[in-house]
Amino acid sequence: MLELQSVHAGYDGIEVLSNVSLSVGDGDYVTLLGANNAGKSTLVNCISGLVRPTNGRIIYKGSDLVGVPPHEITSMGICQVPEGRQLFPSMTVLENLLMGGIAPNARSRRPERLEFVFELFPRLAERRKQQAGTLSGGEQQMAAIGRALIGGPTLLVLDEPSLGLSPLFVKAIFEALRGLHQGGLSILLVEQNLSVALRHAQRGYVLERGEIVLAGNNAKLRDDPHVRRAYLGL
Amino acid sequence: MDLSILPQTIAQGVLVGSTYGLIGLSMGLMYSVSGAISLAQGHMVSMSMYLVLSLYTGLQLDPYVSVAITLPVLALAGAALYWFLIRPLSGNAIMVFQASLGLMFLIENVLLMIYGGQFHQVPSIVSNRFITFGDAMIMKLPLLIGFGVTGALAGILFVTLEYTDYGRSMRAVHQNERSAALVGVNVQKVRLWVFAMSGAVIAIAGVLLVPSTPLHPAEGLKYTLVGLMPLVLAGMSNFFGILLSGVIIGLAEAIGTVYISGAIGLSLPYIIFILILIFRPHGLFKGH
Repeated sequence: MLELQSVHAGYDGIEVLSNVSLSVGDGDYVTLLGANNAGKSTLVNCISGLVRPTNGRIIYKGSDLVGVPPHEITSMGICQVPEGRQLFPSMTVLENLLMGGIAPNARSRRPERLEFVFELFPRLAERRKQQAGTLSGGEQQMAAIGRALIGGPTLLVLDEPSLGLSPLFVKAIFEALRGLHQGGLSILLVEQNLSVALRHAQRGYVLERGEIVLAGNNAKLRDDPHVRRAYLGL
Repeated sequence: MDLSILPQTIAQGVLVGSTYGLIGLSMGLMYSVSGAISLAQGHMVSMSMYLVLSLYTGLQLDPYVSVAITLPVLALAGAALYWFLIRPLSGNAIMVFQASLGLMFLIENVLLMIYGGQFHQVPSIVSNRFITFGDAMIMKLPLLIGFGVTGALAGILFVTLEYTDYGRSMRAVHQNERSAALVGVNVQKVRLWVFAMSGAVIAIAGVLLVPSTPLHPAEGLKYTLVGLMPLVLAGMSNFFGILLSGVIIGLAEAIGTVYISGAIGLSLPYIIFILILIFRPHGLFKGH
């Protein structure tokens, strides 16, 4: 469904991603692992159109996404949950969720998707009138995921959803993601929390200094000596 | 001090101030989606007023009728301002500031070239109509119309911002531009529309000012100032605060002119503006 073919990207001449290739198939649950500054967010932003790759192709359902503006990529079915949630802080939870379905092709199905999100995260229904900026970190993450879901994605891209959350919220969010995946949604999960990511995803890639250094199913990654030493502290 | 004309003075100040609020609003709209301020905004007001003059001398159109023409023209001018000046400078506030300074002189001198340096007056059929309230207040009808229109615009703006996808998109671009793009907002299109809206507000302010104000090419700077003050007092993007602050400036102007003689009286709005900034540097409507 999504295929990155030797993507290069950078800012002001400094290369952040070099020759990155990866793919996410229909119904896949793929994780991209890496430490801070490995280039994970740059890669995510290339997919969503916020950063334009200097080289390479990003093929989604047969067409190249390079140069397509972000709002159109969202309409095509790739919805991003950005790092740090990035909600609209002085809008209510409900308004944030409504914004998730702002794309012309998503508007008609907004009421049913809203109901779906409120079922998935009942806490958001309780807080629908509250300003998003006043929510706890975990609730904000739920709102950010909810907002992306209302766009009706076929591929959900999450950038470090576990960052700064209590274990309880991490558990709740990953259980929700598992349910979504079982419902047929494709997921690309970008994480530096390897133990959580490898417990849920089917396979993954390891990104180091802008390059993919390792790829495989989660059992292979979990048993890899380099991964065990560098990321799991074993 | 003649207190018997106080109610009249206050009413006058409120009514004039509401048009100042509109000029501030046109700047606030711009600022909210682009983070930039154009200093030429007052000159665009002048431009719209001279357009009204030409429509009057050429086609005998009453100012309140000619708004049907000046509104789309100024909306286009606003959109053009975004597309040809703000967008290429990619919202770099300092560069926009400088470029708008250039635009200001350009507009002023083109107006001077076309219309000359003398004052012009555009009468309206309602210019010399008055409405009396009891025996203490006599209001010029144009000012009352201005106040009514400002109130109506504020209402429309409120409903748009709170309850429509369009208004929510505007707020989204203001609060987090990247997130707005990520959820599917065409950020550039929203900016273009808001700048057009800003131009339309200018056209309305211009038409409301015309019947009670003489026209002169150099008046543009004054309009920029009376728009900039409420904008800053309200904390840049609080639209209803801007309209209210416009009324404060208008009040200060009316009271200063009537009750305090000479230069001090004329500069009362500016004195009050500076005092408010000293004691409430974040503007009038923010908690802290």
